[in-house]
Amino acid sequence: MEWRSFHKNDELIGCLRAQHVRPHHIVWVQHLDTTALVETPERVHFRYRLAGPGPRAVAWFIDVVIRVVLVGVVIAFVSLLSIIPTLAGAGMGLLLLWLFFLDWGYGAAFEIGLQGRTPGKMAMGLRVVRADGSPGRVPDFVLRNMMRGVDFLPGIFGIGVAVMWWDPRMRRLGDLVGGTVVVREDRSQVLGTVAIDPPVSEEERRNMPGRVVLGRDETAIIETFLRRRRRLSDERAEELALLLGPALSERTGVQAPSWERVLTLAYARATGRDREAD
Amino acid sequence: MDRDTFVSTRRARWDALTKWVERPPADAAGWTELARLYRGVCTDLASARSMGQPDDVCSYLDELAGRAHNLMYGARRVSGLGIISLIASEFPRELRKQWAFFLLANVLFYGPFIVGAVGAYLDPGFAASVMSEAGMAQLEDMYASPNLARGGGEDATMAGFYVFNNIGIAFRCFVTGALVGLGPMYVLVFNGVSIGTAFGHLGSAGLLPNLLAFTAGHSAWELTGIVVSGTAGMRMGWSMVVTEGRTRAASMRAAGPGLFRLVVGTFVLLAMAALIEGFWSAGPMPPLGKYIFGLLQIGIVTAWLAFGGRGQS
Repeated sequence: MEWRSFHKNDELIGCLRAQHVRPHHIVWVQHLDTTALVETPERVHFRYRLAGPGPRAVAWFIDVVIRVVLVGVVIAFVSLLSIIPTLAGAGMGLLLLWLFFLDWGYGAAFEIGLQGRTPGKMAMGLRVVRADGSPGRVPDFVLRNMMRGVDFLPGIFGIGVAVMWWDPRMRRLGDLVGGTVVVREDRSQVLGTVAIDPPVSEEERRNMPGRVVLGRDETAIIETFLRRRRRLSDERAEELALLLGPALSERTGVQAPSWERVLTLAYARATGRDREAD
Repeated sequence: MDRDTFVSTRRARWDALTKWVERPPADAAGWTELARLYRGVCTDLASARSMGQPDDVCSYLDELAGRAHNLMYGARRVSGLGIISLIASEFPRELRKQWAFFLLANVLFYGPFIVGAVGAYLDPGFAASVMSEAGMAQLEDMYASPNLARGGGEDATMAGFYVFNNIGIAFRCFVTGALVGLGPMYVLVFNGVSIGTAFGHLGSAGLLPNLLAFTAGHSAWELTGIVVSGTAGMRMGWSMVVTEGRTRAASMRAAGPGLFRLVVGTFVLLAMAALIEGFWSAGPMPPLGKYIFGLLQIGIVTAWLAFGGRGQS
């Protein structure tokens, strides 16, 4: 399986197309969905989550607001300058240069300086990287930002959104030419440890059936539930436990005053953790 | 190894790396430490996968490795030497490589230019069909004397305006190449006709020397800049149509680096034009001086585009 470079995959598809093979059986269409796999020089694969039009639109809007503010600041500065008559003309020229720069250079300048992020993208947890996951370079950023003007046509990113819809990696025209993708950087946390809280009491242990067998899915679900338990309210926890509790209680014969406790006890017995730290 | 053991035995270095990622190191020792931690996390990610650790652990490590990776292999420093070589040799070489598009762009621009100039010179009705009455009057008014009258500081304003307006037009000309090359064709023909008509019309009004004296200095840079932007735009459109066995997306991407060089060239050409047009062209120099200066500019631009980067691989 070739994960190394998407360009290669693209070329592979091109070859297959030339041979009249349907390209939809290629690995990444099937596997990548909204994630992109990346192989680093350290030979490790990691995944990027691709960003769709929604968060990107919000990021764009934030950047537009910032640009408006930046124009305002310079207008204020220039009108201050124009108090001195000899500097008025230079001030006007400066303002026009600034407008040009904001039009064509705002996105590229920030993406170069902030490793693929504009302030809007930072706020939304987005980043521009190359299609193979490596960090973007200057030409990539310049091209993708220049092309925004066409993506915007015929108004509110009509072409851009259409192209994103067509492209499996949700790229707009600028990303296609620049060779970039926009990814979501999730600040995910490793969830807490599984806590049997409070520990299984002597009485509970006596009342439980001697052997409880849980399926692999059931174990995984209960583990996830117990890890998240500390961040859930009691009511919400009981609500969630209700989804599995009754069926589990009936099958295994574990009884408890709350469904949450049913899950906890069943899990503890099945994994042998009902005997620990008493 | 169960999940909790896996996490708790490795958590320390994950947290340490997180700290570095949030606050990039300032010194070499810090980077060494970061690189060490990053390799560790990569190993953890690989073992988490092969052990079948739960999804949340894998995605956490994915994300951490991704951020560290981006930081370590981050945007390369732009060196001054790189920029000079890009402008002086890579751009002209790219332009010569795309000679067919450059030729087409020249035809699309200078063809209508000649039609406009000859038409407007011979037939006053022609100019009226391209320009408005007010536009014609303004044009005649502007070039009524050999030196444009500009007040103090107006030079800087105009230079800023030429950057904003002309480079803006050229960049739009390039990017609309994504409409299968039609945008640049329109821009080239439209500008060719309009500028040609202005020349022809002023010629028939007997004001051509004034216009020539004004435009002599910057025209080599400006007109070439427009043509180069059209070249880049049509090259991009072409990559969408003729994919040479690639997917359409891959074909556009393959054209990207070359397009960047042409865009840089466009910018330099038009920025030079804006400087000259802003600070020289309207100046007090007698026409002969301006013509000589203009010929010098044509020589510089021609030599640059024809010989820049030759003999290098």
